[in-house]
Amino acid sequence: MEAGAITVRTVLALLLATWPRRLVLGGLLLVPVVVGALGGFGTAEPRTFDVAPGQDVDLGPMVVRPIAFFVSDETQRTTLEITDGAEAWLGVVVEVENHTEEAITLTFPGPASDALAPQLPAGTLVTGASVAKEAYRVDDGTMGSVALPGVRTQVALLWPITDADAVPDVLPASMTESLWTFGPMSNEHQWMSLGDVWHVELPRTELPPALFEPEEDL
Amino acid sequence: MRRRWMIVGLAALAVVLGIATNVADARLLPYGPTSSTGAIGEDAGAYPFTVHVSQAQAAHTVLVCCRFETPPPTGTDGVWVVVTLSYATADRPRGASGTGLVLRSADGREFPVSNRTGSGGWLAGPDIWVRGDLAFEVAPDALEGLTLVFDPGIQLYGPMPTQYARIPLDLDPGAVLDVIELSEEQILGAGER
Repeated sequence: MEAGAITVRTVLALLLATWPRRLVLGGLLLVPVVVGALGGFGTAEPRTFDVAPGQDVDLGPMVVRPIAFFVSDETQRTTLEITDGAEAWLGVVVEVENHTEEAITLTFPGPASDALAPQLPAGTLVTGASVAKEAYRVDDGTMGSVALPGVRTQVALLWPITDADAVPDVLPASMTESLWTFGPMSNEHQWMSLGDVWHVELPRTELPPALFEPEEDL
Repeated sequence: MRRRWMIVGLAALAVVLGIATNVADARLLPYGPTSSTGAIGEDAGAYPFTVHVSQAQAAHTVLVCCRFETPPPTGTDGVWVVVTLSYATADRPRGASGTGLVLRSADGREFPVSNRTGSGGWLAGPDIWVRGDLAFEVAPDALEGLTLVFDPGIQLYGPMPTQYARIPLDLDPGAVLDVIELSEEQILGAGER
């Protein structure tokens, strides 16, 4: 072997050459033992909380205040008609305030958002995704699908459902702490669920008057 | 000993070379977005567009235009900002897409063109100026220091400089109108903005 070559032996000799080096190396080797003795790294259990309707829930990118739900076929009639298998809308009235610097789409056609997911018997929601299909402002019934930064808005999130009678009088829903991030691979914004979950039991209410759409006489 | 110094020298050289490449890449090579700052009443370049903002006003409600039946004024939970602007292109007919057209507040929040009024930008042609109104909903505390960002977001020929325009709007938070009637898009005569 050539003189001065770097081998495992020379590296070891270099690392263990002096006492301070030996102590540092020994300390590093002891770290797993110390962590193990103190109970180890805990697994991050997602925490769950119960909230009452009408309470602000900070999901990260936005604050959502779930208020109530309704079941109706007297709003957005055309969309309901062209949605296969839909009998009525499940509407959840929420107040949202976006705390990021960019607009958030409440009904984006990407991967499902867990910002608010109604808990219904399997097969009741027409789509498998938990994200709402439509969102309208409670105030005047116009489009409410975009949550703007710093603008607090009350909207009705709408999901098409197959059976209006399958919805109980009190609707359980879960809300999950999320990140609203830009995915460079998909080249679009998307939700990423982080873990903490809030459960809320929503009371039933009537269809907000501004959303009512009279039947058309043809 | 000499061999060891050689290895250390080569390692240092690799690090210096990496840093130098990064610096050159970020500062010297001419690509990525560059902004041109305009003003109300001036032409601002955002190649292939040229933009001209003639007016910006704030209001509590807007009256949507060009419907068969005029609906009642549309309210907002924030404040409406209506920007009257015209633009033309330099090459072929193009529409200003909604995504790169935002109002940016002084603290960096971005408000896209509202999807509640029906207008999100229109087609304009080479040196054919078309004027119209764009309605934005913004947070009430963002009114002061708003800037219109007009970013065509077009990668024309691969890695080349792309230009976007920034036009400060100078809105007065005290002067919020009750209602603004949005006007129809209009093709302008030669020299008009």
